[in-house]
Amino acid sequence: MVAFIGIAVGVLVGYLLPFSVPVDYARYVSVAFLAGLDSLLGALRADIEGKYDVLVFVSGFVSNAFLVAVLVFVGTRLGVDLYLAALVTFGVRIFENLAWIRRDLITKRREALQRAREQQAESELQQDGSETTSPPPIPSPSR
Amino acid sequence: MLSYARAKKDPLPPKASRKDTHSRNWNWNFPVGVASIILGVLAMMQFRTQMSTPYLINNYSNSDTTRLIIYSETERNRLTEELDQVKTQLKEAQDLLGETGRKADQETIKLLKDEVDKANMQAGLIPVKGPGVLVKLDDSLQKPAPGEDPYFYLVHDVDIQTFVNELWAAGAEAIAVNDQRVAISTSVRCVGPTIMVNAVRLAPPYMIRAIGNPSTLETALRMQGGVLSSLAQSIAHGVRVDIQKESEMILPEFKGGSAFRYAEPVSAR
Repeated sequence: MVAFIGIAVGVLVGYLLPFSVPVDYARYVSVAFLAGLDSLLGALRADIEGKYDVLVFVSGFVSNAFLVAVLVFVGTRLGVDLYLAALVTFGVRIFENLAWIRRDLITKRREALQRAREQQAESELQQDGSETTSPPPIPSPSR
Repeated sequence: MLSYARAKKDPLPPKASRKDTHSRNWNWNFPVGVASIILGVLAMMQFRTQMSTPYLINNYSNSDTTRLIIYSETERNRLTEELDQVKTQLKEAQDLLGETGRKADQETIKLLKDEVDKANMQAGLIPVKGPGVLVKLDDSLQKPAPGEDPYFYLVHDVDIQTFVNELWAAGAEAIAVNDQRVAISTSVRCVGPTIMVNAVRLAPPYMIRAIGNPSTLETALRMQGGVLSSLAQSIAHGVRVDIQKESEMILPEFKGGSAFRYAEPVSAR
């Protein structure tokens, strides 16, 4: 939720700010945007998987942005489109992160449903102890 | 957002304590929020850059520009007609002045009028007639092969300029290209696919008419290593150049502007 509110606030601030990026720096901004998006999605994924670490996130955000800036700068100087490397890498990682977030969410949802079912079966079992037939086995979700 | 959802639905982890909430804010909400804001600002800035650049270049659509040009040309033609009328009126007034008044005044006025006519003639401001040469230039009828540079298949502004230069050098007294008199402040240039003389677009064939000694002018044009030699490659590709002597031609007057806003005469004498 914070992420969405943040992006909304950022867009608003960017809209209200009186200046736009000079065309020369548009390349920096576009790659930096991708880097930031990648970091953010990575953080979301890590949080869902319970592996989120604030230091990892912040350091990753800063170092990615820094590396991207260096790549674009050096690439412009050398006449080699090094920023394409960053563009492709972050593009791939964004999709990867999104895919993992999706899977994690689905898995979590399945697990929660299964737990709820187990609990229900348990409580039913406790209510009428005369029941002898065991509940049908629930297939464990596969990733 | 997602983590909150999990905290609510997951019965396994213990309820978040006050301290946990605090660290949660510090560990998640603050950094992620700030990062998102930066992201949003970056996105918006980039968006604005993208929006602003093409509009700067392509502010007018092609049809708008075309309409503007057509309007300007109509306006130009109207003003040219008006100018012609005013010039005629001026001439009438001058003539009238010569016929009235005292005898001595009439003499002076006649002298002045002759002076004015001479000046006008020299400036190319009145139509002139006389013998000379007619040069006809036209684009090649052959089509350039695919991928071939069409340069040598077309008549260019430089070609016309070269002919005009050569004719002046050979002693031409008056020159016109199509209906445009070559006079002071005449420009010959290429604008897109057309050639403009005196800021008027011309279409091929280009007729360069020069008044002067016909045989001198023709010899000058046909001179070894002259204009025709420099055009040899174009002529080989089918550009048509036709030079012929004329016993009498009428050249129109120069219609361009001759207002001096910066230059002023130096009266040294």
